[in-house]
Amino acid sequence: MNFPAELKYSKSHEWVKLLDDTTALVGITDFAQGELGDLVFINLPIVGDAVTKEEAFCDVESVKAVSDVMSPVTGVVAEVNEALLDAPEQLNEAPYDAWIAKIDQITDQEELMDAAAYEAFIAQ
Amino acid sequence: MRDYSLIVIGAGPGGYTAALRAAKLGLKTAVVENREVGGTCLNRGCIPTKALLHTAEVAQAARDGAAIGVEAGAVRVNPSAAWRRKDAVVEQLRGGIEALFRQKKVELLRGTGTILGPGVVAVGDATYTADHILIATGSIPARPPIPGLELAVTSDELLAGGQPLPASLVIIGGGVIGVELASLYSALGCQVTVLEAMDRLLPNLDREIGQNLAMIFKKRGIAVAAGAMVTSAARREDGQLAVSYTWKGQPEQAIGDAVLCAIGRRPNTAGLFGEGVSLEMERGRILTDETGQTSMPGVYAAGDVTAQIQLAHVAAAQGTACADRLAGRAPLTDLRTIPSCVYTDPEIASVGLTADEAKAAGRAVKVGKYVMFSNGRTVIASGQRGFIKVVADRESGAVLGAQLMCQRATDLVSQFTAAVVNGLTTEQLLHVMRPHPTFDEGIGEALEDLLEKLTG
Repeated sequence: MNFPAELKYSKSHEWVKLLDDTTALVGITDFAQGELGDLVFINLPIVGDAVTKEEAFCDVESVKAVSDVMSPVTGVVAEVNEALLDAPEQLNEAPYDAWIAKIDQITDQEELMDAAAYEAFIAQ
Repeated sequence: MRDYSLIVIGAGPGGYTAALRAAKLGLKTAVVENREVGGTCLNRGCIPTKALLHTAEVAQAARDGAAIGVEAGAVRVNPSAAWRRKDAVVEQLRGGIEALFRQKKVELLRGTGTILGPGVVAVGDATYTADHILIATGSIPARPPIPGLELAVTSDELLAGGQPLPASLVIIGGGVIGVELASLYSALGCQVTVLEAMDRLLPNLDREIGQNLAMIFKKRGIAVAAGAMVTSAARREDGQLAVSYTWKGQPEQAIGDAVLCAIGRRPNTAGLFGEGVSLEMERGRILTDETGQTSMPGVYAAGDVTAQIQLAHVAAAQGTACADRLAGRAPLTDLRTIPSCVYTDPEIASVGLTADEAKAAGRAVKVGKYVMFSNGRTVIASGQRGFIKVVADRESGAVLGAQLMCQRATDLVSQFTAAVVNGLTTEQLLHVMRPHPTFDEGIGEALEDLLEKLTG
């Protein structure tokens, strides 16, 4: 499994890439996609949706189950990765390229881990 | 002495059901119709599309058969036989309505009904009087004023048949008519492109439905452009048609042998009003109160001509409710809770509030969802990705709506309609034992998920 050092990670297995103080890309981690199995569908949020840290903002679906994706930050959805609608398997194949949403106007965030801490967290 | 208690203008689903109900309750009734009985639904809408979609479904089943042990050889669809069979279905049902008219002594007056004043209707050279008039003249396809769009056909013309199947078809409009005909023509082997102005297919339904359908369509080779604003259509030198549109700010073109304009229908009031007669209208539709009463005493309207929601079952429910009231009986059907169905593969059905609508209305709700992957019947039928979503009030657990996209969704939806109309709660629906193996079990699973979210 791969955990890029430039990203931050949440306990619910999302990654966060801060673009500036109030803007970030959010996706699901390599560990998350492995646990979920082959993803076949994603329900993306809509641009303009207000999202709250530690609350569901989107859901992904594998042949096994539907799982909520939690927002690691509080802010507003500025952009969504529409390519995932047609090719949700990108979340499995390249989880760190397959960003789900760009969130801006960030006012709050949960306590995020760096790559080493996250790796230790999932090893527990 | 008046000629009739009730004259109904239009023998579509709004009109013929009202006439039959009125006659059953003892009112002397006539129906005026200038085309075939059964209206748009039976002749140019619901029934012909479903008959042709059934052909497409059987063709697809035959193609997929080898995988489940049925080897049919090369499968070829014969369009003229398919359209003949569609005509036979329509004729059979039309004959059924005419037989019911005779049986219940409803008089069928052939011609265009024109209202000359309260209680007076002209049909051709004859004039009839009645205590009440019900307008149920339906709707006709709308065509937006876009240059070149006269080159496009409407769903009426496509369903009538008679033309060879186009090898490629551009459909303007990704609403119910557009997506059903996209499914049909794609299954018949036609290269289909769907252009929808809003941000997704079926924009009036829950957003997951439109997203899921776009994904399924694209896998089947149907091109989908949402957010596409059509600007013009033109015939090219090679004879093909080109539809120009803007998509994400860029000019684009879709090319096809034929173009279908499926952007909706508008109320049909052609020839309805005699000189000096007018009713209160708004953008072409006749305004009524909740009992169907128009601005003219004794004149009522039902169905598409009132154009709030253009569905055959809404027209029928409004028409029969009107007949009930005229005969002094309280109507039973709740006209506010309206199920809507789309006959794609998988089927789509929806009733009541979606999660987004509830949110917009400021209601606190919980949503339960079940994806049909592990439903036995769905696996047996090798179904596409399908799901059932149920929306309930967060406090009371009362079911407020449901959205289904799965096999048999159009039949499954009715138990949610029953729940919404009767204010049943999630727990009450879970008191019901569901047989195995059925598609219906998926509803139990969605409700279990919902209960967990309500109590968790």
